[in-house]
Amino acid sequence: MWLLVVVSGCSATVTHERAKDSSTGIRYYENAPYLIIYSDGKGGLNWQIRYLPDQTKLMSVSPVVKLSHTEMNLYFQNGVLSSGSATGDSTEIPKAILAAVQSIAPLLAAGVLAGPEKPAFPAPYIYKIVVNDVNVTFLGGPGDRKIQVPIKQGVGP
Amino acid sequence: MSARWTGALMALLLAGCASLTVTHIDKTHDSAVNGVRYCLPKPFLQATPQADGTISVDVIYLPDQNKCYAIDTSSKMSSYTFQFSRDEKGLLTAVEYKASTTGVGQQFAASASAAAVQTADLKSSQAVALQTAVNAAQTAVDAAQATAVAAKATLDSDTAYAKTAPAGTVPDATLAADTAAVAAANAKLQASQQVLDRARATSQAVALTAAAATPITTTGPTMGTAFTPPTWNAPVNFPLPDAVGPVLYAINDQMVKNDGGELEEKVELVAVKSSYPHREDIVGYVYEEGAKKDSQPTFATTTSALGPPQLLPSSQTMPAAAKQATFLFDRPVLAMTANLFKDGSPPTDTGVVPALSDDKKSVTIDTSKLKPGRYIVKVVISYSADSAGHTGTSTQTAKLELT
Repeated sequence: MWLLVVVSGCSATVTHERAKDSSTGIRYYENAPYLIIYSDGKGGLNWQIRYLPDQTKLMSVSPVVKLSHTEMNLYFQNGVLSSGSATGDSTEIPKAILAAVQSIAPLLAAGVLAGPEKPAFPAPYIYKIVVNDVNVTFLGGPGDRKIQVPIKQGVGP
Repeated sequence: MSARWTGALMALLLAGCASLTVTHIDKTHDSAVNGVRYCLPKPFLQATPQADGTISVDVIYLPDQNKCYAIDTSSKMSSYTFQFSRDEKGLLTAVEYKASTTGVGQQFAASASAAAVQTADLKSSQAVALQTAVNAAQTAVDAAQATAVAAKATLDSDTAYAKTAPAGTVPDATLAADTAAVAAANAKLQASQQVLDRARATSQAVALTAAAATPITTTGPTMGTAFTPPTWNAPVNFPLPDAVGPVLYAINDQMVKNDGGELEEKVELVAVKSSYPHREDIVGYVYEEGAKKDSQPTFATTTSALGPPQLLPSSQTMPAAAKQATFLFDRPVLAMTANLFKDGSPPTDTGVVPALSDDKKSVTIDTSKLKPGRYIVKVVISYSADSAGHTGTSTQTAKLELT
């Protein structure tokens, strides 16, 4: 009878949850896709989609062991929990969304494509790509400083 | 409390525990918090000017000093292993935590089982001993009972015969002896009954050897072998073409209150602005419109390793009908003297003087009066050797062929 009381208290869990002020687990970020756009200096654009730590999604992971065994192996890359799964790159984003990004990039970076009316190199842009079902939303904008770049000194006629 | 519930309570009280606790650190209590430190990363966009007039854009991660934590581990009546690794920036890369709290419970269960067996053996032995004593006492009572019954029968027989037989047939002494025998038998019966009652009510001491439970062998968790000494990345050198550095933009993604007081997500690039200590601005450095020194301050540099401006190309062929040939310096010179020689042994001065342009960057040669052939341009230039105002001189030649 008393053995049943002991056995009923066994548990081993690893809990992932949103971090709170009272959390005591290892903190990490979830990741999210971001679009980076900048001028190529020749009237065109460079753009790339990068998975970066999502600073609005702070998580906490903690093991709980009670009369049992537990093992927890965690792997992180730049603050994001990877644990053997791919942290992702643009190839994992559905092609339809990639196409939407490609078509809208010039509009998002219109100031860049207009050409430098002023000599300073235009600041890059960053947008967080938020996908809700079939809707894609971009949150962000340009940097708040242009860039000092020496004008290319060519030799020629 | 019964032995059963005592065992249950002991099991709960002796339950081991192992824990991993992560505490946020700030400057007010940094020294009071134990544990290995790590910080969450802050992503930045680094825009680096290139010599060809473009920029290269990279995402870099720096430790966020507002999000640093301490990982501490502890155990009570349990065993655990803990490994971690960090990169050169102090960012956590891997954690392995294995804990086992069953060792104490296992031993307790084994010990409790052995104790329960010994308790059962003791009680069994005591029961056997009691029953033996009771059996013996009961036997004595039965014997006394039989003796008492027999004595009573003898007395009753002799008394009955004495009443019917002539007087004196059964002597008085005989009747007295019978009466005495009955009294003695009853007394013995009563004593035997008391012995029986006492045997039933008294626990019996038995001889039993107590033995301690055999310690069981438990194995704690094994530390994993996937962790090896980390390889930290070599620092990256970013060559810059000018006296200003790259622009670092902090990538901010946070929930902020809008004008209506509601939380909404805001994503922005904010340039890192700093004056940098122990640094003087380069006097006269001109910023292009929109670029500012708070995000791209100047740092002292020199052109001492640059060498003299080069006359280019080192050789060119022109049709004589072109009437003019042009050479260029890869950067402006201060002054120049030049001659045009007809290639030969020895070379002969043609009398044509190459001219330096107003911007001090190009050299033109009037070839209208020259015949087809090979010529040598010889220039002697003075140039700015460094940003401190030192000058240098250089003599260079280039070949010109008129066809």
